[in-house]
Amino acid sequence: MMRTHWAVIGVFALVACQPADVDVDDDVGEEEVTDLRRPFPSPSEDAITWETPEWTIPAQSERQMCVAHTYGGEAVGIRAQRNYQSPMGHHVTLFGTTVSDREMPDGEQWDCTSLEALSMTDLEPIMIGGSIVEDEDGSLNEFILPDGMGAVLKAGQRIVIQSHYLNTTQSDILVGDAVHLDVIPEAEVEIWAAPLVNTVTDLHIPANTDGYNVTFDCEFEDPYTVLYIGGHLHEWGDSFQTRYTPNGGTEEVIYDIPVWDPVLRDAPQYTDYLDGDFTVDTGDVFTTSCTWNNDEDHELEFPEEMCVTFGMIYPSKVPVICAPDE
Amino acid sequence: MRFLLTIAALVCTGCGSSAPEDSDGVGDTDVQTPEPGFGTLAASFGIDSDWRDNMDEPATGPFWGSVYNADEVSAIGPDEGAEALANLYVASVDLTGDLSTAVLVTTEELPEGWVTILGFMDSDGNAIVDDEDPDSKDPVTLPGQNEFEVIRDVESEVEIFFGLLNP
Repeated sequence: MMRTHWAVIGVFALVACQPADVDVDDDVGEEEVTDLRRPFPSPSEDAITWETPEWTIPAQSERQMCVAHTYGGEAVGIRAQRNYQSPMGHHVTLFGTTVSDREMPDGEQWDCTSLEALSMTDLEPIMIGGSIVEDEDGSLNEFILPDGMGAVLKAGQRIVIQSHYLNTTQSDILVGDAVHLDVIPEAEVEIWAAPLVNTVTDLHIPANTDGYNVTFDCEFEDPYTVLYIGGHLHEWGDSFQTRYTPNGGTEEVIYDIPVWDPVLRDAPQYTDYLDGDFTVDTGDVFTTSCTWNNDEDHELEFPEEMCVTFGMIYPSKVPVICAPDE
Repeated sequence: MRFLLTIAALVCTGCGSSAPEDSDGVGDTDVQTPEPGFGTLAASFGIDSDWRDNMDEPATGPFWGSVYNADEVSAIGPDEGAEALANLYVASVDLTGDLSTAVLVTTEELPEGWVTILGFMDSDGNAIVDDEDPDSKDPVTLPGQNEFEVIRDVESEVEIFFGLLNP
């Protein structure tokens, strides 16, 4: 049985996990810990909430911490997601994972700063997007679906909460994050929204090569309305573009990152269409174009590098995945 | 790399079973490495209702799959070089009605421990014998949802679950 088709099965992975190294002076702030834990607002009555453990982020360092859970309730529709983070937070993201509880028991927490510590192929976004705003206690990443809409959270769904911190101070900091999901029963969801993933996994980016490009098309088999789109590369990315061609129409650029910044791997830039004015019809095409500069002495393959247009669309209860190299 | 680890494990096993050189004969009974145990899995099948609703054809067809050591499988499938412990074929898995079936197949004897069953339902009936791979919209199993423990001398009932349609 070939291995490649399994790659795309795990490919919902969209946000990478390997920040740039930051030198840590172990002598700095050894005795001093600044408590930056924040209060979390009361969730709505039916909300699902997860709080991370309290983590100590060393002075002048960058860390990603992860913790695993399992959603133990009935299947529901997620209406809104609110991620609360302490000051110095870069992002906190809720992922689904296909990793079994044998490999990653509930409550297990670990430093997932390195790519090896948390294979991206084990992750799939449940609902991402929205904007990050600073509040008086830290930051809030809020994404609210339009009225009547929900994204499914299935019974038994395994969860990973990933918290990324950049501690630029001279002292260690004590932090903690929370994820609040506003949910409604499945039966009350009028329109289902789901992730959109356009990707290729058969990547072979030659060693020591600049400007290597992969471009691929994905044709829609059904009509949808797009809520937002984004692009995903890893640290060897040079540029990213998504183009849209209506069936029989003219191609236009709808998402363009002419100079890729590795920080976008963890904190993607979205183009929102929350007012419902971007619809695609059967036969319309998204073209994804990824360019890399590989300064390594080895060929880069998936999942070391990726090339993904992602987003959310409706109506669909299941992810809409296109992987033309499968 | 894995075969090197296996060799190392065998070497260590050998070391552990050696009697000390200064043995006085007391307790000279050889320390026996436990014989590896074996068990079987009796498998039924299940499918996610949302994915079934998205299929292009009825959720019925033959199942092609393989059983791997779970430690040699990641979310992107079997590790490079991983060899199946056994292959599974079921001529007809019918999930058009209920979301799960009765037991349809029992594996051959498998070494005790954790295994992962990877496979697909050939719902459009076009798999090529000896080169079986799912094509678009065939229901497939996800590794994390199909890990099972093989228990020595036990026939364990498990459900092989289709949690995705192949893109």
